[in-house]
Amino acid sequence: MTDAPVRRLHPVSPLLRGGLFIVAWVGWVINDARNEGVNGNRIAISGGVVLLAGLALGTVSWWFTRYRVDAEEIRIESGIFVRRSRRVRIERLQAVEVQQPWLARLFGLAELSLETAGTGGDAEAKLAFLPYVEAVELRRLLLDRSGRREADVSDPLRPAADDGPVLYRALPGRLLASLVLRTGFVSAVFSVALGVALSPLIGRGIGTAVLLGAVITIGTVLIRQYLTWFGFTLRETTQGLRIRSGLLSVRSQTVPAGRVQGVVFIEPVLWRMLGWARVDVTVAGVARSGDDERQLVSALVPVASREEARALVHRLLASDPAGVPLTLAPSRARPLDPIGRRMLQVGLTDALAVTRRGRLTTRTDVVPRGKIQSVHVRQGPLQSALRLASVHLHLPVGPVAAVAEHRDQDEAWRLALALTGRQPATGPTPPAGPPPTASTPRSP
Amino acid sequence: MEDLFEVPGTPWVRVSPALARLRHQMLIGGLVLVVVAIVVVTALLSDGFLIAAVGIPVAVVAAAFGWRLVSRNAASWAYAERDDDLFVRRGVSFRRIEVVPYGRMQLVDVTAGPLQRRHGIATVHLHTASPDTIARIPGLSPDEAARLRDRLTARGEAQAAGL
Repeated sequence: MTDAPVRRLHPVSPLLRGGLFIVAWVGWVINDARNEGVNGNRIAISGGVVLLAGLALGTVSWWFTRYRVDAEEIRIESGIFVRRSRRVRIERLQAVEVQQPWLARLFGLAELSLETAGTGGDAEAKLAFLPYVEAVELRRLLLDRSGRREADVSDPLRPAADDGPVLYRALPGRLLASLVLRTGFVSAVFSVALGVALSPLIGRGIGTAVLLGAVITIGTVLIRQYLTWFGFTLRETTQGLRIRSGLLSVRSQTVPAGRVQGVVFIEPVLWRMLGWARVDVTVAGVARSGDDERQLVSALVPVASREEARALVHRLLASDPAGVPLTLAPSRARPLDPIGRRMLQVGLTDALAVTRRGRLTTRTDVVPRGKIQSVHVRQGPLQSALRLASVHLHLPVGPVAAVAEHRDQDEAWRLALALTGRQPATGPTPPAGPPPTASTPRSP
Repeated sequence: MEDLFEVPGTPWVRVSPALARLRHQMLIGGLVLVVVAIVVVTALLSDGFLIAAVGIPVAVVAAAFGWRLVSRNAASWAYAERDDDLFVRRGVSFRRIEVVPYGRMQLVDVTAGPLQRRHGIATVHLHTASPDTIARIPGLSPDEAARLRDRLTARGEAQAAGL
């Protein structure tokens, strides 16, 4: 196996990766047209030059990029002037994903991204592009050799034979409505409206330009999000829940139930009126990348009715989050959080810890008690004067951030010990503390 | 005293007074730098006397305040090894207490910078799988730090829990 063949990426790759050159060229053309007027010859010639240069550079780069997979490692060599050689040990691979940007999809190609446990951009190596079938085959091979038996080795982008029924599907209309009703989107529209109202004051021309820019920005964001989330489906498989999403570029991901560290229900204020919720999930060992992508990686459900979302989480955690009795923060916490106090809640059962906070966008963090790494109790001077304290639950990197804010300080301490205890703590609990099995916080 | 952070029966171990000495020294170093800077500015400006007349007393008073804050903060650090978890306590006005079950520890570091070494202290740092865990104990003697690290590692292995 040591003399495994050295291979190249698909010859069409430079063409697909040349998109950047096209963008630069379009920018130049627009600038040129402004200065010199529209001139067909200049555009055609420059376009040809850029195209040729891009193709040449891409081809040379393609020629120098080679990879080899042997029994222990995958080696990727690249770079024209600065040679770069990466070796990724197969047993260290955390995840191998197949992705298909839309242009690649036209050619039946896909990119393979290899994620290791590090942080930042260096944790990820990419092979772009391979024929789709080859990428899937290579993924299967790598996952096999990495000994990740729990990993999902079936064809990631097409439904597989062992796929269970669809548990959830994002309805196109509701998805669009949910994106429009997000707090961020609503406030952006509101500020544009404010801008229109004020435009007589700041001058028509400037007003119109700013307005146009804002509308284009908001529209682009909306469309991009819609395309990313379009057709979001969740299926039950033997390895866990499988997610597929995207209209132009399709992305697939499997959430193994055992590696879920916690989930969070997110309900922006307008969604709450409609009874909608989003669910994000923290999965151990999922590397973080760009903002949009990270959201996609962590999303379990982009928008669903509260009941649907709850049922899915119940299924994933094998325990019903709605069955956890929540108690409010004591009323003396009002001076510290006058608006949000009525939302500050916490609850515990044998299986789950649940915290809720946020008036405008309410978030409900649900953590299986066995997954809590550690906790800290925090008390500032004002809290100290009111005999209050906050308990923070620590989890691996992800969207879930469970915090029980402004609890009675004795209760906070009992909570902290109960949350970290293997058998609920019987150690030095504060004098008046009830046994921690009854550590469900007292009512205010 | 009804203090959240004085849990009765907890075997608290305070850190070495050398931590306060080290931080006091850094404070004095900072004060000297500021005073030198003020003197230089005064010398360069023709009518800079006012800057020195106001600046130096202000810096000295601030340092005196800082001295007290540093003493109180350095004295607030403590840890307690319990049967199943470690407590780390710190802070005076803004207090924080960390509870880390041994079974969750991923690794334990001992570090000592050049200044710390001169004062004969080291820092023990516990890591879990969560970046939010800040279980850092500064101001231990190097022997104590090494012993603590070994004890923690042994207990972590004995009680290890998966992710």
